[in-house]
Amino acid sequence: MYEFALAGLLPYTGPLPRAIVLTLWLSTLSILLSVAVGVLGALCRTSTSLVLRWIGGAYVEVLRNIPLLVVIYLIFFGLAQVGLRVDGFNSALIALTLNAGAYMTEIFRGGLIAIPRGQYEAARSQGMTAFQLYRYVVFPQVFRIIYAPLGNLMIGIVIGSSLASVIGVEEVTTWMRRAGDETFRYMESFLAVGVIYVVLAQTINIGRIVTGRWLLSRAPIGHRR
Amino acid sequence: MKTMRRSVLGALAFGVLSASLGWSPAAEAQQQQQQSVLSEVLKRGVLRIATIGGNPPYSSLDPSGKPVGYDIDIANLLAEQLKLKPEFIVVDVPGRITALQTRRADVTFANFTANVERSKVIAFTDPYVVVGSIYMVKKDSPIQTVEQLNDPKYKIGFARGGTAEGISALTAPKSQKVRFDTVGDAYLAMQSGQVDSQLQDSLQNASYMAKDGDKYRNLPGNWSYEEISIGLPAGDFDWWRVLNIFVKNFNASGENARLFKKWFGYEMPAVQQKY
Amino acid sequence: MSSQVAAYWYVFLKGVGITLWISWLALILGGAVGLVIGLLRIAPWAAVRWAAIVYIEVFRSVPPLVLFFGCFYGLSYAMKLDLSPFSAATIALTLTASALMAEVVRAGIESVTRGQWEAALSQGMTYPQVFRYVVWPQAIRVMLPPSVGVYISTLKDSSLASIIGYVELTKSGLLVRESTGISFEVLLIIAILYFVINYSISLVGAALERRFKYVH
Repeated sequence: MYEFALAGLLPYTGPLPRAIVLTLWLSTLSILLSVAVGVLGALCRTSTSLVLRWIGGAYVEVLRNIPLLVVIYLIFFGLAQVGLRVDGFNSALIALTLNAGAYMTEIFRGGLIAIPRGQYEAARSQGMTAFQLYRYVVFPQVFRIIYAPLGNLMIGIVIGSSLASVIGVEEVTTWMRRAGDETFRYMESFLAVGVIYVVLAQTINIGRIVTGRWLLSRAPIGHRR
Repeated sequence: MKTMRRSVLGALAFGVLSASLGWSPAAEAQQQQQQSVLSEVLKRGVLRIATIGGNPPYSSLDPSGKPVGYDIDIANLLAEQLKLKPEFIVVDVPGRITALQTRRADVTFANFTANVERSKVIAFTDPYVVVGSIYMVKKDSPIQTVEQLNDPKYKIGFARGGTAEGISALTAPKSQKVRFDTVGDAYLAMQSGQVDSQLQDSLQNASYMAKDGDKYRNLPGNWSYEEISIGLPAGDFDWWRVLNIFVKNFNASGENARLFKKWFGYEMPAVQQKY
Repeated sequence: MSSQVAAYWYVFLKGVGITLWISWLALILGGAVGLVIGLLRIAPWAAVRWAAIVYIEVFRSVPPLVLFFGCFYGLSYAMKLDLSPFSAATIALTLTASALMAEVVRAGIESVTRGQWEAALSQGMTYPQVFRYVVWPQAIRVMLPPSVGVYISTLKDSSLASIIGYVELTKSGLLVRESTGISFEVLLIIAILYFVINYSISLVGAALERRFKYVH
């Protein structure tokens, strides 16, 4: 009978904090960059220019329909073969950003198109600057619509960062595999890493719920959801 | 109405619960553990062989997913002599030990080095080939010696879970280690410049050099003496006895030399033993 | 396409077939498990609801890659189970898909208003009858479009089975890459194949969505 012994992993906990930091760092950078890509993409997709709309649409469809793993391989091995060398961490970062950026684009686009044209015109006629328009009129409304899918996507990015392990980035999933290989405590290392991911993802999830409550508490009358 | 609704959901909940509780095949598996693999395979008529993919010319998968290579031919020979049907299970490098420990495989033919650490949990036969470890770099690389390679700015690539892990830690502790799923991935990574050097099995290295010798160069030094052996579950004398006789005959009959030549393209090198 | 890679067209084709098959299998199994979990998620008892929430949250928080290892190595050690890469991949994909499907099921059933339940029950219909004839036909319309999304997501996750040695589309490509030494082109072909498959599925999904909108 299998003897469950978490203590078997103890000699192997040394590199764990560094691995967690790397997972966090990779995820955080990917989230920030993909938000930037998403905003840009959403502006393309809602632009008046047909070409920009088409480029934005093609980007979203292509990246949403290709597995992240294939994108990572393509960047790490494929690009290197044609002379563009990107190291493991940056390959994962670029792949995650491109992948999540496509979903971000759709989320931001959904937020932008939900705001009626009339509001822009009304704000302008009140003499608001573009900054004021976005800061006080557009953003608060868009944020209400996007915070929930944004939270889910952020969890998706943390989960996706696990794929960096296939190209030798020493993050949490790599730690799990090495700890398992060296101690044969596969079940324990799996459960330990599972708990780490659940904690990371649920921290984001709780953040999302708290944000939702906070938004609700200051909701204007007649606000939906 | 409400009770009906409850009972439906209750039944569903119970179903899930009992399914999760009833699912404990551990006891049955434990019983199997007591039997010798030898009697098991004879009864089954099938020999389950664990091998690794992406490790040419020992074993790799041809594009249709079928294992081919030196190790595969030897395994087929064993199955033939035992009059069993061979069935290959493809595992990764660390998966070799797992496959034996969990008895998913009866035997491994997988470029598998016998060492004390592994022998704590599984068993090995006598070796059928002996290899070393060599650092390979690109021809135009500035690195000339392993001492130079021992620098945090250089990256060494190898497959995770193999002996390269320990050898690189001893010979070039300061350099960065990049672990891949297969030897093939590590090779591609060096080919495309993602790592500066690949720590290789010396025979594998010879095959790569024979094919692409104009692109690569070896750093001086052979960093290990490794006896490649057949792996089997621990504590099974009957099974070990059969496999060891097989290895001895295989080595003595000239069949080993023939298969080696077929897959590596040159005569098996004589090993200089130093005691 | 270079002829060297083109010679392996049947390998790619087989890979596409296997990828479609395992993701379809995982979707069906995940749908069945997801249906149960989704129903438990809206059960009248808090303890059951919480158990379902924990299940959903856990399996959408743990990366599928980690689940693949957990099933392939973890389970085979802990339970002494004789799991092939195929079974391990199917279990892992099913777990991930079921968590997604549970949410889809919940949204579908909750889309049917309380009033309809009460109206049908007051007409003398039994609980299963209400479910079968009133709630389900409406819920399935709401559920179908996001189910297509779950299928695409499962299909993409199935690429991770390559890491535990299951020869589906990605692994087939990696094997061709190993045989030919051509990286970029082979990976590009895999990417294009995934795109064509998933994009076609999403078009079917969009068509379904339009059709069900008209019925409403």
